[in-house]
Amino acid sequence: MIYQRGVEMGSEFKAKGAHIILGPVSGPLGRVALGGRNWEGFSPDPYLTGVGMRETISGLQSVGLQACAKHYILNEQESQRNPSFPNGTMQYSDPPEATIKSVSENADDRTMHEIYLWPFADAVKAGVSSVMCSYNRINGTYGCQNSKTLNGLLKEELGFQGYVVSDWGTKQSSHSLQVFL
Amino acid sequence: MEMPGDTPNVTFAITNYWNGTIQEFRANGTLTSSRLDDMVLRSLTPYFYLGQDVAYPSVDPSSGDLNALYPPMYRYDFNLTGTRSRDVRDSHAGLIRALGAQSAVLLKNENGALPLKAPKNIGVFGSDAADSVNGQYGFQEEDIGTLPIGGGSGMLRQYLLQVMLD
Repeated sequence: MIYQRGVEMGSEFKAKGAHIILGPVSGPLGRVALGGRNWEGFSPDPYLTGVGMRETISGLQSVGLQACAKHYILNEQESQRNPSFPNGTMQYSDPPEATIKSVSENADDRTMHEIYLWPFADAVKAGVSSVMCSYNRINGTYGCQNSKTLNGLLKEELGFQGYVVSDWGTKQSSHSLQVFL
Repeated sequence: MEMPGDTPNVTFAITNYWNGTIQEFRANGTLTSSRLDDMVLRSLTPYFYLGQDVAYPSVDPSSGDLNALYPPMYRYDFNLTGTRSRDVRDSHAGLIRALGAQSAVLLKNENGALPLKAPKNIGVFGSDAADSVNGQYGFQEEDIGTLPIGGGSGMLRQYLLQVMLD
């Protein structure tokens, strides 16, 4: 049924002329019940989410639409997902003046692999066209310029051959362009 | 691939690095040609692999207008043609209804364990069961009524909404 849902959604998007659908979602996975985007995903369980990703991506791409697995990775809360000025005004890039950085969501290697990376691995295995890097920082480094997550895990370990697309407005420095995206 | 693209006048996405930065980085050697080739290869492969270069539907012009970042805000001249506001719903309502039913968690009445022989009254509990008091997108904590969808890029307006109490 999940596959069929992918097929029908895919045909709707295609008929509208869209080449890429920004989904399905396995991040946030659902670490915190109050997570603002949890509802866009499937389940806090990595295995079940992985199945949802695989079936949805297969369905979408079977009708010729590009899928985009997002948000990669550890985007478990929406609060302070973007950097901001001390007065609370949000900003999307990270200039050198005094700003409050995006929240850094930290996880060790085992947690990353067994829980959060798992459904993205299923997505890559299903042949997903693209992956969207997230607003937040992972272990201190912004999602869209994090070599460990984008190169080490996604492109090398998982062997992802598609492209990485940034979340809207996020590319914190020339680092992103130079090495990772 | 960097999004949302070349939007020089948008307050939040002003510093897009692609316009000019790529050339600068290539010139001073920061961006190697092999890295650039890799980026291009990765970005274009799905397009051709999925056959999007052959007989693909045009972009519905109304989609551009409905976007938060709509075509005039871009440096690129989007020439959107074809039928406007296409109805693409087809016969998908059947699957949507089936998915909703399959997603509900129910108790199985095995050996008549549940007291359901001849109920005089049935109580429905939970604020998600009723029609929304503050409208479908009130998003307030003390709300009574169903919350059909959350916020974020996946958010949309329902065409039809059936409430549990009904």
